[in-house]
Amino acid sequence: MWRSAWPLLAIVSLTGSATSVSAEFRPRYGGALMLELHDVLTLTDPGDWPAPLAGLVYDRLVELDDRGRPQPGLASAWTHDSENKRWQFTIRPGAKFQDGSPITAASVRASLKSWSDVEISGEDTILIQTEKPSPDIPIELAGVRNAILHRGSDGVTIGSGPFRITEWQAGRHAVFAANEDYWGGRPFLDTVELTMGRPLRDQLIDLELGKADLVELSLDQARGAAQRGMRTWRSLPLELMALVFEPGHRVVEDTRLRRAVALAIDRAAILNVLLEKQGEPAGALLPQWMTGWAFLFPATRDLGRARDSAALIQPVPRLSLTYVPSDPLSRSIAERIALNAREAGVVIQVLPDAKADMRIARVRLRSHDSAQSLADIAAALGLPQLIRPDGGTLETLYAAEQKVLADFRVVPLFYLPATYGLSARVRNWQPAPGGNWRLENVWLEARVP
Amino acid sequence: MVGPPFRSFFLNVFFLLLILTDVSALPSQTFDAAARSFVRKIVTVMQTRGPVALSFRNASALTSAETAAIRLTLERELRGQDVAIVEPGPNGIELTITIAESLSHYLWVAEVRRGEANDVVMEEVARPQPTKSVLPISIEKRPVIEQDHPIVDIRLLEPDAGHTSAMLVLDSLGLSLYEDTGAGWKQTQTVAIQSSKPWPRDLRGFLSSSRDSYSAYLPGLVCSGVLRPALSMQCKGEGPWPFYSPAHQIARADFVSTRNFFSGRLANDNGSQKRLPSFFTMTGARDRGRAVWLFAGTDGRTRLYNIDLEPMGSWAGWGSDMAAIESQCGSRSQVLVTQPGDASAADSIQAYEILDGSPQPVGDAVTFSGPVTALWTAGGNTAFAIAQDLRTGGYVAFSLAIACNR
Repeated sequence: MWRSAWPLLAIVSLTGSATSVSAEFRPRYGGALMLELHDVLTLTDPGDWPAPLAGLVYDRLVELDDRGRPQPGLASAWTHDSENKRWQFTIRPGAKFQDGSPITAASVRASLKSWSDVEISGEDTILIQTEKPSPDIPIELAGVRNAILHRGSDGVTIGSGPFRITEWQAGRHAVFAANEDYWGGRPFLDTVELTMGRPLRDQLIDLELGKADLVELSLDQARGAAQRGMRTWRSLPLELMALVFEPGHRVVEDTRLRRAVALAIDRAAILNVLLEKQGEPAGALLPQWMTGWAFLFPATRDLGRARDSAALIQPVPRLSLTYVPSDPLSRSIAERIALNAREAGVVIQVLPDAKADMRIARVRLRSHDSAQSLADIAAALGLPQLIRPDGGTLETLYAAEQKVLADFRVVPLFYLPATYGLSARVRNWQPAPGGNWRLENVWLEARVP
Repeated sequence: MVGPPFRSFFLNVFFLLLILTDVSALPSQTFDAAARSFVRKIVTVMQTRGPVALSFRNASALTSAETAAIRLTLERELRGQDVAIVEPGPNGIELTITIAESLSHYLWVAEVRRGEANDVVMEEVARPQPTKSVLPISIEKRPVIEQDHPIVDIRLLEPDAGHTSAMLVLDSLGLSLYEDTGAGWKQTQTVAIQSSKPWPRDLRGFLSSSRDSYSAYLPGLVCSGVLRPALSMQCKGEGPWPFYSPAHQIARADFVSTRNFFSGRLANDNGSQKRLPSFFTMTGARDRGRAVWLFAGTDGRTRLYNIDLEPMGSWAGWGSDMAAIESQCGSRSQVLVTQPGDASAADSIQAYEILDGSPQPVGDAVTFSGPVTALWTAGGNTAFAIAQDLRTGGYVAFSLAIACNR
């Protein structure tokens, strides 16, 4: 009998010194939290925003707790029938959008426009009826895409979350101010100031100089920062890194060649050396913490079978592999895959930003729902729709994943966590392991005179 | 060599002993329904009731005793479906069961191999809810009541003629009256608080009561009512919160209705007013018998004032909540103080005495499994602390008292 004793929540770690000189315990109101991101956000649909940020401005009917269990959000309660086909959600009394307009069943239905089966069953009640049993509807409703919002006359979306957008300089800077009337209580922070498009190196410098409170870190930066005693935080492994064989490239149409490359990859060595044990090897598209069945997809190297598979092809064609040039981790891993493949008799040329036979792809998951995540991965990797987003049984989801992996067109490599650096003055940092930063609970320490 | 039937018998005895020796093992009936459903799925894909070679592995954080209990339950269900469990053979059915887990649930996975065919069936099994623990009871720290949503203050009401002991609990939803049934506290009446605005995050509140009436102080609201014949409540707009010194002076402090602190504006009984730095909490104590006021400032400093609100000193290092009590020990006046920290951490309360303007710790701190979210003097040798249980998320109210010679 073997045991992984997989300590789920231990994956989420907070390291470094959290020492402070202040003596206060009770949360302090006020202050601006300085946040920096590499990505540039657009002021369009919150569905495009990173999940941790979307929760600042936009609420969902349902939130997920640390264990991924549904908890009341804008819906204060819900009930369902014995078959899980008829779900009734009660909207929280008194909840308002940030422009002061009330949140009603009609506005909720308008927000959930991609759901064809939402009916209004009262002023503050909606009904969702499905043909098949849908026990995971609350988890689906917790996804960023199901944010409750409405559009103002200028087309800008208005949410009901703990912060509202008060300043937006496209591509550069945004200010989120505390929503004084938030149903969950006004956030402790006065504002969150976001700088976008900031290179990771500059973010780390800003954190060290005290110009930023919350920054993104690359995996190697995170290690160095923790060694220097800085506070770092690591999420659950949320990002899939995969090797994708490009459709239409004649040389990779041979399954035996794809299998040879896939079986030659030494994930364990890459994890130990390049990733320094941050993340986990992926044999499946969806991570173990989400489905529980990822262990059924082996992620171990089988060089013997890889060589056997390559030996069936004569001559073995030379392959090309590309990566995004701004991503040094992808480059390192691509080069290591080329070395691994060479041992199996397959020569791979690694090229940045090229039209190649293979590419290193990275997909950040935005939902805890397995069916939705599988659909997201399929869309991001250019795969055909694997399963209807409304799900199915565990076995059908597993079978869909098995089917897409069986022909080695996509080879999962790793699941990577997101890592962040925090300034010493950030208090009450208790993000959900899988996403929401819960900045409404964060407060900033005052300096003791 | 021990043959298969004996081996199976010994294995079962071994697993049973494992269960009996681990009191934390989950009761097998927890999984009975899931086991029935799971085995039905297995039998369906087997397409026969023939014997299987069973292997079992644990890929979850469950203990070996817990997984042994699950294994016994599954084996019983398999036999109940006329599926015999045998040693692996060349042409038999191989059944591999894995107890796995995701973030939100356990997952039982069965791989059924029949020659080249390999079927997989799964059963999602809910994680048992964590059981709420009752924290150790001591003379100094006594748990009184626990509930899921935040308690902001409680008051115990002395029994009078014809009535049992009663307790008022003020929380984010309203005020509840509990009565002592002899077997524990039972909620008998509740009145909801109607607030036109959402409560501030980190809700504060304070109760003051007599035998028959009470006043509840909340951000932006002062409510009052009687307990009998029925619990009633009338609320008006904001008003100052009262604080009592051991010399029986009353100071009234303005609470900032949209925040979690007092503005610093104070009025004495004699009508004089003072403006001090904003503070989270104030309490009236004694320094070698002289009445003094202590303020936990929002800047992290604790300030000491005399009874006329003239400054006497300040220091850092205390938490933001404190409550003075009068005891029969030491200088007969102690201040209970929370530790610095935040809502993600366990907390403790330390007793201090104020001697010549300086705080002196006395005795050992009492610890809590989560943050102390409220600490109020209840009069005499009693204070009430509300602490969150970080494991369950619930809130526990404790009665605190200083006991001598401990």
